[in-house]
Amino acid sequence: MFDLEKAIRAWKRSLEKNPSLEDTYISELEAALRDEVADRVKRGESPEEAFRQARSGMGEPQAIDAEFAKVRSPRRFGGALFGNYVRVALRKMRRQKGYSFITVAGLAVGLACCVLMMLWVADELSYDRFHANRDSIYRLIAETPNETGTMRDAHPATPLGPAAKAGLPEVQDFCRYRTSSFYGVKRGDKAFLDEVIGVADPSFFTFFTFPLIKGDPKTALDGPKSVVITETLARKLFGDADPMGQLVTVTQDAFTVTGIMRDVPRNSSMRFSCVIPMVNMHDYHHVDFENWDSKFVAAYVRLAPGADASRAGSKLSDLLRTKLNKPSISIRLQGLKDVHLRSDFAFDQDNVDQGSASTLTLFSIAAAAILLLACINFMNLATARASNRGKEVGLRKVTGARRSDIVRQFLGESVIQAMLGLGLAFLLIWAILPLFNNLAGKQLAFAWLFRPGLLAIVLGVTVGTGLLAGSYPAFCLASFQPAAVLRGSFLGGSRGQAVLRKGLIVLQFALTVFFLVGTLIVDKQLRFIRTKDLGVDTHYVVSTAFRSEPHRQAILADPRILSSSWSTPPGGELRAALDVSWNGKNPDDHTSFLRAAADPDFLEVFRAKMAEGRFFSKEMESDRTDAVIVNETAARVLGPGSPLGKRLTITAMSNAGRTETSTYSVIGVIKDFHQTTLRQAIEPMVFTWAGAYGINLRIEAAHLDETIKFLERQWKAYAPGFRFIYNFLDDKIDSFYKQDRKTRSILGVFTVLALFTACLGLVGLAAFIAEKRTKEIGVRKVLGASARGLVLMQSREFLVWVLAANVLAWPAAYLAAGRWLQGFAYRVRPGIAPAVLAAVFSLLVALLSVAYKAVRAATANPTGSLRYE
Amino acid sequence: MSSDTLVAASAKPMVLALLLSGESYGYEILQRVRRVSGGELAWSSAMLYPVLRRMEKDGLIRSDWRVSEENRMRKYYRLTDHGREECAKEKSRWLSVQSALRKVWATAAAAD
Repeated sequence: MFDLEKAIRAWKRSLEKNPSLEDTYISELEAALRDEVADRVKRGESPEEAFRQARSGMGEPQAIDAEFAKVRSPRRFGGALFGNYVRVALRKMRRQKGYSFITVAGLAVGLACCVLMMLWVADELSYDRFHANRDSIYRLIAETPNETGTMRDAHPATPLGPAAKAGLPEVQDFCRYRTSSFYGVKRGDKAFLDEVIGVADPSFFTFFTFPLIKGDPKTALDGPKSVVITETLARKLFGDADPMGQLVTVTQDAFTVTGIMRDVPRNSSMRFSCVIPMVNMHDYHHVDFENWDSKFVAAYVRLAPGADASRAGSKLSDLLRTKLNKPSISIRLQGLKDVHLRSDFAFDQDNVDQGSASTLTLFSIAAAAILLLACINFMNLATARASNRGKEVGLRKVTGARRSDIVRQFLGESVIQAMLGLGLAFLLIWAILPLFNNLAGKQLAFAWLFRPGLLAIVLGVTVGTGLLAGSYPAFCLASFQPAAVLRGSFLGGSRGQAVLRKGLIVLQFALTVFFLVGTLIVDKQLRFIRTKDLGVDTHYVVSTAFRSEPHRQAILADPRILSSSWSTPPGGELRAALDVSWNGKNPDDHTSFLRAAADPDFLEVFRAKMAEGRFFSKEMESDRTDAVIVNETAARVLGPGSPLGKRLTITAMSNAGRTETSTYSVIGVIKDFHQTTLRQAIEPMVFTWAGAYGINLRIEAAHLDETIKFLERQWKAYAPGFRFIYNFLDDKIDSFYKQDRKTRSILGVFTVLALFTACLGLVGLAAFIAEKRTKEIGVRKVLGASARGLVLMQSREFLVWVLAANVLAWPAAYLAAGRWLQGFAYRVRPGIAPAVLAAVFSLLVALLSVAYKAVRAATANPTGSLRYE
Repeated sequence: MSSDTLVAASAKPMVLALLLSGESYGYEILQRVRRVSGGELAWSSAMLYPVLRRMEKDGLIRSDWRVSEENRMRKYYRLTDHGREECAKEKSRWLSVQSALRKVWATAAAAD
């Protein structure tokens, strides 16, 4: 049964295939066609006959285009064509919604990734750049080689700063710095217990660039009980009143406000809300400023103009070696600008919000790779569709277009699409920025995109992407032979193009599989970390502190507290003993031993096991002063045979800030457990009874929350005015792998995006190929091929490509993941599971992507497909 | 009467003249051309619409889409003032060509 509307729609579609025909022309032609059909029907013709006559009277689509070409002014191919490019580009996109979506959405995802990364990189690189002397300020890092590598300590010897200034002409000035968040800031009934308090030398405000609003930067910290507060803290404490000269309480002492500073910029590696002078550390933490064994603060130096940093470093190393009589130690100068991104040091807790240059590089490469994927899609689809636009190009050439005109037009089109992609990318970024900030632990703001510098780069990248993505199709279209194209002998591109297309698809999937395998291996390692037996049971253990004996009694009386131990908990950062020696020790042996404190309840609270001998006992009063426990690793260092009964002479810093030496006898060997992260091999450890300053509580698992609330109530009752300090051991251990979990999350996001982009490309290409093979499929069907066989035939080729991509990507992914795993002393073997999983997954997704079009092509009525030309 | 160039050249004055009597739409113009030429001139729509577009661009005619009595969308064209002037100019141009050709043909016929 003839359907006039359907026939008219089909006819319109055939016209729309020609992108140079404007929509209004087509509508007008349609109106005329309908008029004529109505006229003919009135004269007695059947609708079908009327339509056929009217259509042939109108001419074939090509003829119509040729007529239009006649009236088109030849100037169209001459001068300012931008408007025309835009028009043709938009028209083309409107008519090919599917392809346009794939192209623009793919580009948008790629651009969004890239722009996000730029935002991130710009933010990371901006850290600490606000200091006027950023290029001449260096941080001093102490390096000591040991058995497992090099110990890099962010806290060098406390007297090093002043000694450097006094002894080295290269060093103009120094400033030492650390923070504390335990003291709290109070004024009257207002108490702010969570404020971070900076502790620094009086040079602080002339050394660094933290501008003062009130007060003299040269003298603000001269008085031992002076404090400089930030604007925000000033407002919190004093409201609108002038705080200068007023008193505030830090811990229990009164400090005079001698300056108001601007708030610390967000992109600062040092963060605090007030600063007090360094001398107070003597009272609060027994810091002995003359003791070279003391390591308590970070030290910064400012070098004289023209001074050589490496020479200053070796001079400082010499100075430290003589003072400590330790030939292996050395000092490294770390530029202030590197503090945020390139720090991987022990005792670096004052360097907040550390970044990682290698993570940043990895993610930048990943973002660029996704943009590359999108570009590949763009090129692939554009060249594939080129045959459909061949006639347009041919006609333009016949009517006098130069090669350069066509190149310019197609490049213009692709730049316009890239711009549209950028618009969409901005929308995407706006939508996902909160999620990204959450993942990356950042506070990137959308508004930063509009800073002139960044915007220029973003626009540059977009235009560049457009040009790159459009270049191949542009030049390949422009080089068409018009005669061949118009004769219709051009179909589907040359052999070379087909090979290139396949190659690009393989490259896309190889990148995707690379990300996928990488993510799976990282995930495997992180799961391994989570489930590995650390040698101690860290679940349901809380570390906290007591302010007084009644406080302790009140807490321990509660039945929900199963056991408690005064000890340095696993997961805590430990300092090595200054020296450990025993009878028969090789004088060249410089093994360092971590020093920990534990009371007899340590085994019960942490569920650690003994390997040999006994642990400290409450019945043996002499254990407090004469006994030492070593771990298995330490026992091996002590030499063959049982270490029990050996006498160890240990030199260490006491809690009172003095260097002390005592001799102990080994009474037991505790089984090795992981004191720190799995990145590090287990180190030799010695445990003494005395010297712990924290308490660890094992809590009944069923009453976790209420027990914490109980602890807080007790704290408020017995230690009012102090911040309630507690942390779960599990959280502490988890925090070692924060950066790794971040890596996994972001890698996961990239994997999804890469997969999405690659699949978009596959869908587009599959659709294109299905279209090209319509006739072939029709013929096969007529000859008896089954729908299933046809789907398989169409999919097989894609699956072979994806498999090839897998084979290519595996070695690279395993190599990269292997290097990442090298960073862990305890690591999983990746195994073949990630590769197999990635292969199955990528094949499945690829199959789903191509199947839809393939099934449609295979189940179509062959009469339709055979008539389609 | 089949020379393409002549058809193309005469299209503009023809459309201008046809629209002198009032507004019209594409299909009607085609029909009227066929009628006045006694079937000699058979324009295709593919040829007409680009011409109309060109004339509109040159400011000779103006168009708007409207719904016809048969409830179909149609684009109606009408002359602008400039179009009216151009029509008069075209008329005098074609008439002078015509009278010149006549004289030449008359002389040629006399010479035979």
